[in-house]
Amino acid sequence: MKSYATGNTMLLEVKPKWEESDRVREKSNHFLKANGISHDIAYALSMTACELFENAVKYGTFYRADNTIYVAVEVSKSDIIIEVKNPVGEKSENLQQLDNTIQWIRGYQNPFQAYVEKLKEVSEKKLKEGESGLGLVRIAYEGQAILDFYVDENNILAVSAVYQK
Amino acid sequence: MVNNTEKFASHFLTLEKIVGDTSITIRFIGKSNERNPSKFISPILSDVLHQSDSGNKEIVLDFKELEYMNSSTITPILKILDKATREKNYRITIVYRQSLKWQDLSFSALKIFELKDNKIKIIGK
Repeated sequence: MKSYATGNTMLLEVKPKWEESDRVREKSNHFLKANGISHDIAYALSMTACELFENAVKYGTFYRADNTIYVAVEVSKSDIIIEVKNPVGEKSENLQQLDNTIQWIRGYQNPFQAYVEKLKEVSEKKLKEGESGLGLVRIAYEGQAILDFYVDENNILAVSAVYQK
Repeated sequence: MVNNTEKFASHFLTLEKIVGDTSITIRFIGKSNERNPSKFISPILSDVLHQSDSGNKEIVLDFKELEYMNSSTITPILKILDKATREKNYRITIVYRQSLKWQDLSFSALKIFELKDNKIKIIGK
């Protein structure tokens, strides 16, 4: 993992390996606290970075050995932005699922309601190994962050979570 | 009272099982961030359900010493709560550390599974 920090921004270049998720979380937590963010918010937003990184490992398309996941954490006066970038396939079904999930979360005025609905759903349905479907809604509820995403011309997916101070 | 303690570990997570005369406690200790935590946790929880002797012993899931869990860790917890809700013959208490904001948010949301007869309880301490 390579790490760059300049003032209020930190960038991590991480291999798409699950084992790196704990370091992503710890480095994000350390950076946020060093920038004056309280323990509870730093904890919630480092969880956010970790969940987005885990999604990138699960659903990213890594054809080349040097493919990398980028995790950026930016602290400004008004908000804190966590952004995770990874390559995706040209016709990724996961992108449609990502869009559906984000739209579904936005449909609730209170993310707690969305989280509770998802808890009920997950408790009852059969899931694929290692999937919970809870990561994004947990970011909205526990991380109190607004989710968004885009895909650029090089098929790089960027998922962001914005916490407003 | 005779207590029988067993420990199970996988990566950064340890589950400590304490079997007493009237209860079986599972303490979650450390961090749970594996890709598929159900693989480790679910068999232990299934075994506890079996050992609880159809509800004669209370099952206590104690998360107070858990430092972190990823969202996939919630799945096996939800599955045991769903089973207890449907079959109505188990007594399960979930205990968490209320002073930790993340634990309060994560575990208080599980109150949707509480039953009026107190067979499922979610308690912040």
